[in-house]
Amino acid sequence: MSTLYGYHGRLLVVDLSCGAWREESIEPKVLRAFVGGTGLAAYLLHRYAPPGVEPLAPDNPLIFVNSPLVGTAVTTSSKYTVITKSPLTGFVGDSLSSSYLAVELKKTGYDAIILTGAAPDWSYVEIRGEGVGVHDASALLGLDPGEAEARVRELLGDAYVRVAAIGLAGERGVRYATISNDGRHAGRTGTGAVMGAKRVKALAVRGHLRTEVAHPRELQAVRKRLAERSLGHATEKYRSLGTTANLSVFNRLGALPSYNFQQATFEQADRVSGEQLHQAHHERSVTCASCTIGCEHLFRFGEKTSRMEYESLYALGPLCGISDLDTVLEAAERCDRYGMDTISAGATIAWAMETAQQGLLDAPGLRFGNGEGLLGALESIAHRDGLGELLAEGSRRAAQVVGGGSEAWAMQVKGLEMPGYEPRSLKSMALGLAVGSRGACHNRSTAYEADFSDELDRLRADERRGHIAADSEDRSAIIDSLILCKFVRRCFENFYPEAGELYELVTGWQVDLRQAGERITNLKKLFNVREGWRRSDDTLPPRVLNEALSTGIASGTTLGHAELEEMIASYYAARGWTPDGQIPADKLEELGLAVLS
Amino acid sequence: MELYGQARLLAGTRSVTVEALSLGEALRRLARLHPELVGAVLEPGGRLTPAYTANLNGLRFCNDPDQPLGDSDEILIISSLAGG
Repeated sequence: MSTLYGYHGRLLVVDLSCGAWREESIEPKVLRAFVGGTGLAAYLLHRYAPPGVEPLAPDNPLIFVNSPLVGTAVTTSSKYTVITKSPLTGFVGDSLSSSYLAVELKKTGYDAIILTGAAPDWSYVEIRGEGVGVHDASALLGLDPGEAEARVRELLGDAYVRVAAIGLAGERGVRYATISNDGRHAGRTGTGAVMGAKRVKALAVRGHLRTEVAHPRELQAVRKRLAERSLGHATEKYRSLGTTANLSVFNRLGALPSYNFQQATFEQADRVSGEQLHQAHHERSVTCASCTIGCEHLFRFGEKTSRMEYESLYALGPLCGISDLDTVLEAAERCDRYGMDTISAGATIAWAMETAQQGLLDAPGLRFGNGEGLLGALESIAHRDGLGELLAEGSRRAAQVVGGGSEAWAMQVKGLEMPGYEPRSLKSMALGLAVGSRGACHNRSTAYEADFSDELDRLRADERRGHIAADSEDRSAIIDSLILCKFVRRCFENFYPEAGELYELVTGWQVDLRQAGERITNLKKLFNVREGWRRSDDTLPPRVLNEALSTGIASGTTLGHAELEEMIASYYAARGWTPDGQIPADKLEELGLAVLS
Repeated sequence: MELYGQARLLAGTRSVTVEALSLGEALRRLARLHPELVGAVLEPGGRLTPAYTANLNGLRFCNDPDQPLGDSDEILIISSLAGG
């Protein structure tokens, strides 16, 4: 094979059932078509996951994927993707994490590592460029991810090995368990539960291979330009307060879901705002590897510190009616320690609070605003005991078990609990949440940007939403495939040409990234269709469609079924799909996906 | 004028009342009342920096300095980086 730049052109398959491993090559045409990160991950999932595989069965692969920019020191590029068939949704479950593990993963010489099968006993997997080891992990069980990382380094006698680990939630099969490394988390869709089902507590990687870039001198100039821009106005929010700054703004705009989406404002927002959090608790800011922005803010409460982002603040705060910052910080710290998605945990508990209030669930301590109830629920979920056994299944499954109409207030799409964007007052985002391939996701769709602009009226849907949602998905797909952090998105004056230049300087390849983004989004849809997607899966929860907003500046605003259907139709049309949301043969052909269908 | 995020922390206040007939005039008055906002939030001429945007009454985003203002209009100064 001729020299590859930015890639290694190889992947590693580890069969945990017998400990065997093998290398396979990845053709350059695949790398060019799917770029890396979530794009390459989607291709590999489609290829290696047997159709109809049960998410927690051994045959469901768990795939860690690199990208061409990792190791180039381009700001925010130290990221990797982990993908599987989600145990929460049954559809594409991809998630990104950051920092040193991504760099070390790249140095192993593999563009992707695929874990298949299930280990006979709890194990941790060691991957070095020269081979694979599967070791006894009994000494690691019950440890939180950070503790597990440190212990693996001790066991291997190597202070430089980097480790991704699951916490207790992953060991116990909580369907929204995370995979964590370096204090960061691959948060959504339950990849940690799949790792736990494989009885893999940790993945340790250590490598020494450099990845060559095609045009190092020119890349240095672009890298410097991006780094300079990343220190200016384009990232100011992230460097100052971080994403927690959203809470008071969303509250004012009537877009802050509270009390399980019963309200769009929170009376005590000031007590849990980002501004209050900074003034009362901020300790310091830290950065990921290769990042110039420093968006991660640590907050002290008592003797502990915790990270906090807007989504965690919303989900463990106003969504559950909690107005005490110490409680929210404690809750977030427990989620990180046990390895659980804060959004899914908070939203499932909020469902439980309302369900208990309705008399359908026997949980006396579980009421909106009750901090002890929230913290106790997190404990029981992580341990899967008592009510936690039910709540560990996620709000959709829990509601199906309890019934009594509680499905109407399980705030999820395709099984993935909703992030902190009130769809009735952010109509572009409403569409993005309804049609997203991994469920209700604010990350794969950034359609909210249009809602927060002077482009359109966020309270009134119109036919432009389809293109807005589709374009935002495709751009996100490329950002998540290169991989760059979305916080650097405003540092590009003209995204596709500049991203294309970056890609070419690293790989030497000219690729139409706009089309690649469309290809990647369509591939994820293709996978979902194969795994049973139906038209009725693109929707929003009944509460959103049947209830008007009751509080805030947008009080009285509705998002009815017909209005949503109109927006979904405009999205399908923008994508060139059929009116029932299927990808037609000519679109598959155009995108080079026909061979996969 | 309601201040959010770093603007609020820098100014040390949640809101500032100014008399102004237009958005541009309001921003210039804000800069005079809170010079600590110049640089991060406001440009010397009284426009918002690219890091911030203005919203009228919680409903409409607007950065036209000639936007006329009524007596009861509320201007929200918020980060132009929407969302997460």
